Amino acid sequence: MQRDATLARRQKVIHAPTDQALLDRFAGPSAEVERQSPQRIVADPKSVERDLARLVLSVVELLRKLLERQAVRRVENGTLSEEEIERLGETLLKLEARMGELKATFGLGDQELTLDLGPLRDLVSGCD
Amino acid sequence: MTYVYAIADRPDEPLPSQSGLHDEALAKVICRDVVAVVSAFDGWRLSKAEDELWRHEEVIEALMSDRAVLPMRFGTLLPSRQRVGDLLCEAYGALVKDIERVRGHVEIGMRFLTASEGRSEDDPSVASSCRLPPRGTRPGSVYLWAKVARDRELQDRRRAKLSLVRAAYERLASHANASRLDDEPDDRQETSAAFLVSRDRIVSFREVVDEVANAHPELALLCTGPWPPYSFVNAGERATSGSDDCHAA
Amino acid sequence: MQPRPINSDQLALSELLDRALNKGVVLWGDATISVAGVDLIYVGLKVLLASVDTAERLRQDARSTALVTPGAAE
Repeated sequence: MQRDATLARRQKVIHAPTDQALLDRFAGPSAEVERQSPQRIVADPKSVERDLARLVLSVVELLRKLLERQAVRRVENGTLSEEEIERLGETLLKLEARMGELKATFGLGDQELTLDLGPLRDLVSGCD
Repeated sequence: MTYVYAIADRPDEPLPSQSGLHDEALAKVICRDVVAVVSAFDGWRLSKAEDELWRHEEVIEALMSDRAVLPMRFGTLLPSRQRVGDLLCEAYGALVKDIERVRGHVEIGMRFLTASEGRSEDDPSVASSCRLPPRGTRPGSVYLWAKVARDRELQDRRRAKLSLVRAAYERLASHANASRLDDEPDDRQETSAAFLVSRDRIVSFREVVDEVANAHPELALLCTGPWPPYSFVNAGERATSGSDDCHAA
Repeated sequence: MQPRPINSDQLALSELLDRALNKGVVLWGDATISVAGVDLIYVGLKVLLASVDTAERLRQDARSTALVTPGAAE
């Protein structure tokens, strides 16, 4: 039964490139992540703390990027006053700096904090 | 709590025999002529996220065998069936419209890769090629305006990439009842599109995909489906500002 | 050349991820996040968290699967 379920899943591909390299590029987030951050299984307290930090900071980083993206959009739309732009920019600047400190504290790079959720844009769009 | 898989028509039809997430039985919440298909959720977690996603999908596909179905976003949890019913009634008009639009159709997905793909977000050359002068004198404004400039540069690049994909997309769109081209692919490398294709035209659509692939050797195409019409439902969502190329056939 | 059937699964999963996590009907309330007094984002926070959680678990699944795949580079 397990095998049948798996087969059905595979049948979703209607057309794909025959070139393996191209296929790899389409393969998506899990493949991408695997190549970029090879992991070892290490069961020690430090790594548990680091993993938790990574999860939390990933969410924070995601929110920070969403906020920035939305701020840029508002600036481009011309719906903010100069004062608001300055305040917004200053806050985002501090946020980015603070994130940098936290990342350094836990030894986490940008790649490790990337949550590939694809088009989250539909969460932020249409808010003007 | 209540997990919601989909909203569909024909509330009186029996539900498929398959079970939902964590093998919970499926149940109905009905409001007039629409039914939300739900199951109980009590904080469990399955071992593999992949299995959960596929189970969600399988419930929806089982429903699609004899109904018009609006798939819910994965992870839709509401406090109670009562609340589900309330929301169904609140969004009733929009839901009925969406159901009508997707009836007898499936979604086919396309992804396009061009030869010069790169992770433009992290591309250092983007920063250096920004032609706009820095604006403002105070730190916050300088920071934010620099972000705006970078954003504009990225948008220009996206537009250039899109023009390469346009012809292929338009050709495919002419064989679908509705289509959308994702012109804001942020972290993803590919440009993607979705097509609402009527069930009896799936086979001919596949042939067009092959033709388009042959006619555009400069593009790599990935076509998948049939899928439930995730990309063609709007009820309950805020309007998106992304490009929504909906053509009527 | 080793056959790589896993790619079809990965492709299908990737496509499903894209749809089920980011599209489909959304039926709940939103929260507003404001920064420096400027209201910025209406976010379906539950959606975000469900998506984050699923994406994170998928990454862990991919990691543990790759580690036990025979012939995987160490």
